[in-house]
Amino acid sequence: MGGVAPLETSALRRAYGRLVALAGLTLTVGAGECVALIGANGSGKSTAVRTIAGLLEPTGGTVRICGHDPHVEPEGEDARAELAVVPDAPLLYDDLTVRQHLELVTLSHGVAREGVDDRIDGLLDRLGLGTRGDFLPRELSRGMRQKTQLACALVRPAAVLVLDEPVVGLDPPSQVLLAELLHEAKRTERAVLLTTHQMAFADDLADRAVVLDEGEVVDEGAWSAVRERAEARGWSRA
Amino acid sequence: MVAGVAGRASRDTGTLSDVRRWWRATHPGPGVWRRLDTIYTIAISVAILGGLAYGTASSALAQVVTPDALARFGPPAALLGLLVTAQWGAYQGPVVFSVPDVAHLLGAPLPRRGLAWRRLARGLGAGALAGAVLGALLLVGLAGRGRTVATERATALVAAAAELGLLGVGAAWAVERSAQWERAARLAVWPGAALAAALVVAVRSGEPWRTVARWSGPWAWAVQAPAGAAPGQWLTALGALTAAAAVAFAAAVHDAGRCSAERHLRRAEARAGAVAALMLFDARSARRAFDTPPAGGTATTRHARLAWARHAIGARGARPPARALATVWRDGVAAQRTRGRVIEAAVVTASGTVLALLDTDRPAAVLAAMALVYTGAARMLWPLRAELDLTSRARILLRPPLGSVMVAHLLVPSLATAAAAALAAGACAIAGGLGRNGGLAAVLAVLAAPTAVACAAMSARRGGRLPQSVLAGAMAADPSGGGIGVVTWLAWWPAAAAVLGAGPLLIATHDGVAAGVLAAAGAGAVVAALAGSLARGPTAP
Repeated sequence: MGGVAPLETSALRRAYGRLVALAGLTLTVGAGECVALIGANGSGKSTAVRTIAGLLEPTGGTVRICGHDPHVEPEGEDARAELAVVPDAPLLYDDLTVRQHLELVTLSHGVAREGVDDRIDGLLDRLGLGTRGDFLPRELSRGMRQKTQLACALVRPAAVLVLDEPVVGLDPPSQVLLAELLHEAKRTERAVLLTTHQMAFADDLADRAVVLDEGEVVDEGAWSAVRERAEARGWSRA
Repeated sequence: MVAGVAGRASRDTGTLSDVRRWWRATHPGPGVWRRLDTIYTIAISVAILGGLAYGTASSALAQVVTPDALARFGPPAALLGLLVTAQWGAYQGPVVFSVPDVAHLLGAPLPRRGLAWRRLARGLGAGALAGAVLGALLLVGLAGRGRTVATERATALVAAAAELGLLGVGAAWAVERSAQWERAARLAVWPGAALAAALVVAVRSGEPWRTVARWSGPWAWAVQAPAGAAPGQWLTALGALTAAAAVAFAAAVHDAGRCSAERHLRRAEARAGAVAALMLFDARSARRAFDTPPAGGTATTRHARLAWARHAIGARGARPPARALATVWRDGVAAQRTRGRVIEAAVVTASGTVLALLDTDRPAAVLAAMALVYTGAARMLWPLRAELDLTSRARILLRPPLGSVMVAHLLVPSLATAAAAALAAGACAIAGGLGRNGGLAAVLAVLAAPTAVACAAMSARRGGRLPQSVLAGAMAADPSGGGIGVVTWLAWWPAAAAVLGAGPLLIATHDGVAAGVLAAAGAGAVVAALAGSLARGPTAP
């Protein structure tokens, strides 16, 4: 990989007509690092995640995933190979079971077939979905669908893990499990970018934080310092 | 082993064919016997009904589709068809994925081109097939009433229609995949409509305009063979059209993978929303599903903020002193913000008025013209629909009772459409196009606009969703499976507007001024009753 950071954005900008949802986000997430994007509703967090994930075209600036631009083809294929995204709302097929979702992800990401079934079983067990492998999404609760989406992101290798509001819909034990998995991702040199309203969830996890307001970066730095300043503004008490 | 985050092992050379194979295994299609059964059912149905349908279609089409009519109206109709097909790409287009497809397939390191080209090829094939079917229908009409069409000209017509279909789908794909093409297609609508009108006039005029119209573009090349052009001409035209279609096909295939995930996601979400709305027979929500905020924008943050501020100041300055005028002010602001909608409504209303005044000898034409006026009126009533779709918001933001709000919403659309109709009637008068009792007819045509607005408001009050009671009642009482009941429910207010607008106009031009005035008074009383009904507020859901 050389000196290339897993995730880099430079002056990333996104506008919807005249509404500027993201106004120049410059960010680097290194290997084994976790950065939290925080901000109020409508501050541009999800727009940032979707633009980084290639689901929204930037109106300015650049995104690089391990040096590859996800918005340019065929370079985007290399970027998508290194990027795992967990959206804020589960995006699952109505007619595929939980296990089939994971099979599809491993196939489409070219994960070596050897041992993949054991890996899927193990991941489903760990996420508490072991007995739900043959269930369709409509037969699952919101939290279980969210876990299925999470499993889709974790079942295949990726250098960058991007999670949009990952704790929404998860019960406290599942939140603890999610934190464990993200710690594990950090330990194995993944770059993790997550958005959250829940400062407590990011406390042990995030190394740095970026605060967005009206699409603009209003604060950034080490997690503890940003958290202190946020508390001083009364933001984290909410 | 405790499973967790996947190791950073290098990727296998995962291919799209693996995914396709797996997909076919998990989604097995119908078996051979099932497919044969379907083919047999279609074949037997066509064999039984085909003869009957051919006779009916032939005699009906033969009256309308003649070589002369094809030469005159073929090119503009084909041009409008191409424009509409290209516009389809702005909302859906030939390559549409589902929302999970966008997340799991377009989000995977798979070649976009490989994912899109089969869908694109199917779309291009369907476009060509639809064109060929349309060409065959035209052929049925041309060959009716004892007329004969030479085999080579018939073949040329079907081939040209298929190529036009392919060209249209190719254009739709360009519009679907590219914001620039989408903008160009949007800008081309009115010039295209104007060109279509000019083509009609040009064909009626003498040379050299007729020749110019004949060679104006693929839309005109396509109809040269059946319209009676010399063999050298239609062969050249067909060759040019074939070349254009080949270029469109090659460009489409070349750009098969060049559509961003965002544009695919927008269409996937729109389709999912529209399908969900249509399952509830909610046409208005289905239509709204295709309205998405435009991406892009060149304004800087500062500029954008200033724009908001300017707007806020402008709006504050224009705020009316009287509470009763709040709705009128709101309509005025909405008209200012969406000028395209107002222009569209004005043009459609004016067109309807002109057609009604120029063709008073044909009641069907006047009724159709008044349906156009209704379309313009309905377009102007968008703010009222917004209020009725979110009545809770309207009740918070607007203090008067919702019935009063609905009546107040009639003012701006009535004035705007009546002004457009007045301009159109004035133009007809200046051009000497008014017939018997032309002055009164012009006044009645202008008054038809607010009448149409009242009818459109009554339609809007019902909401966009087909009531369950209507559906249940229609299905219980109607042997067609509810079709007639549902169509009646949908067509009720447009038909009422057409009758109320066309009735007095036709009576005035055929039975004299006194009868016309009497009929207009009757229509006015009906409109007053409708306004009274609106004042009572929205109907219960």
